[in-house]
Amino acid sequence: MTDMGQGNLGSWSNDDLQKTFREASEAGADADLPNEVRFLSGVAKLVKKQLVQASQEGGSKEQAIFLLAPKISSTHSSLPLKRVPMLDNGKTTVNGRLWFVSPVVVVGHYVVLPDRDDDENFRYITDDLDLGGVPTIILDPRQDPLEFRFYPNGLSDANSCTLLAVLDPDVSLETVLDEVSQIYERDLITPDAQGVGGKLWKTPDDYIPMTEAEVRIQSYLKTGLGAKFSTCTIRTEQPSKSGRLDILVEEIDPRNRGIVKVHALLELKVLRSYWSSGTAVSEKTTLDWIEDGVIQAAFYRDDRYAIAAALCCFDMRETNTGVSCFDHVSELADTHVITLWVRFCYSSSKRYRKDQQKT
Amino acid sequence: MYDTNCDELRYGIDKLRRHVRLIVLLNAAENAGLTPFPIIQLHTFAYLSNVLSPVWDMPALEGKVLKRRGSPFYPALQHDVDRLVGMGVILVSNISHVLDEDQRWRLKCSYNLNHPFADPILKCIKEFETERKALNFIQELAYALSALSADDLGRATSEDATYADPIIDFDNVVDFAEWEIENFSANAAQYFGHLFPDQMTATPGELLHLYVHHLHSRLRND
Repeated sequence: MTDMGQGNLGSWSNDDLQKTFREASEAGADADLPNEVRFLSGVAKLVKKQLVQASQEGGSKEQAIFLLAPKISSTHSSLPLKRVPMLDNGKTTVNGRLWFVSPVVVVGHYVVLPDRDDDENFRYITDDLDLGGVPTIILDPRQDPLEFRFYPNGLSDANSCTLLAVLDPDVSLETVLDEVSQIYERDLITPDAQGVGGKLWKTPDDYIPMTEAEVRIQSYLKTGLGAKFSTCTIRTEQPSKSGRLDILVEEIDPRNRGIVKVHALLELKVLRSYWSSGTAVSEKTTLDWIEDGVIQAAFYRDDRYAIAAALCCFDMRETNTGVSCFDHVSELADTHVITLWVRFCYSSSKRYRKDQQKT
Repeated sequence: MYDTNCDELRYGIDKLRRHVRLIVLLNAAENAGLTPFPIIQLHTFAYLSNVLSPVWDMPALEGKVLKRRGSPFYPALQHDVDRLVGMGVILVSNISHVLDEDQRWRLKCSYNLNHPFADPILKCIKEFETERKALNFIQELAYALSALSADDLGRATSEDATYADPIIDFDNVVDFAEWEIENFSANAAQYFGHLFPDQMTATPGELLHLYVHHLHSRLRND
């Protein structure tokens, strides 16, 4: 069957595919993210879906523990494991069980958690199963509001724990920009903070950024925002009527993936003193670039029905001008209700330290 | 003489490529918790990695397969598996024999990688961009297929849009990328992309998962 010029589906029907689309989870949207982030996001979306579906039934007060251990049936063959295919449909109770899942939480193996205290559960995982080093999530329904405890290094490193809200995470442009600031501080502020595969500078001594600096920043933000806002999907490089937008933070209704809430839209710009060829970038070009960014952010926000939008500038120029780079667009940004955000990316740690000493 | 050398070289490269693909398939299956991987499921996985490769913007390694009453079976792939078992790269377990749908006795067993030998190969594969892309595609497909039970995965092609096409009879060739340009399975996966709201662009990963989810629905309803 062919529909509206799309490819031939053979004996398959469009209607059936639409039904599947409405029911399915968002698995696979984050295929380019690290396994730990995918694991966290997959469990968060599963639990949210399960809680929404079970809300009329009152909900269980038993813990659910998830371990990123997909090979469990090979490594611990003596465990009385029960396999649950299509776990991501949210129809299987997760509470009272110890789950072993892959980074993509579409299937799980579980064993029933005996009635033990927290310490005994920890010891069972770290000592008896010897899985104290694998990323772990604990969902504890005794907490109000309901929270996850995420142990990225496993339960053997119980002090490294992040608390995350499950049902109503605070996702707003403000919290998104707070997280962008943290990602900047952690991963982007100096060349030393940047990972080997994600360097932003081509020749830092000459203040020349990589050609693909913006794409690399986008990748850092996608990973960081994906980890922070685990019930959301972070989309990048989406086409729009007026160009390609940079980052969308969206949340899909667990009951129907056709219903999407777009919390925030970020337009990214890298401000440069030099192109990667070494040619100087004029001040007018930079000012025009920023003005374009404000207009793009407003267009894309309206196009995608996003709740709010921001222009995020990563300033890789020789001189740090701070927020004064926005002086010429402040009125324009107010008119279009676009938040302006800028941070300076230092070309060396030495320069950063020097600046810190001044302040 | 020159042509013969070229043919030998091409044969050698094709064989190497098939061996690499097998190692990637088994590694992906292991990461998705699917190993030891039964023989029927391995051939089904290989078939799906071929027929769904356009979703990841990649060419199929094998663009056609003989349609059998049961699931697909690639004699060349099986020969390669046997070679890799002999070389110690693949381990074999749960060996027995079964009578298949064509009333022929077939080997039944499961496979997984022998890591001391396979890991250096996987490390080398990751140095090539095209192979990295294939590795990412096959890994995501393995994750998607892990949502199926072992039985469902073994009979997944009985509902696959291309393999189960009623126009193709058993013992005929299912061609989706050799001479034919029509690939119903990839078309169906890509059709899901048109269902996303507000011009949102689906990722190839989402399309793979949606396709497998739909296969599951069809298997449950048959």
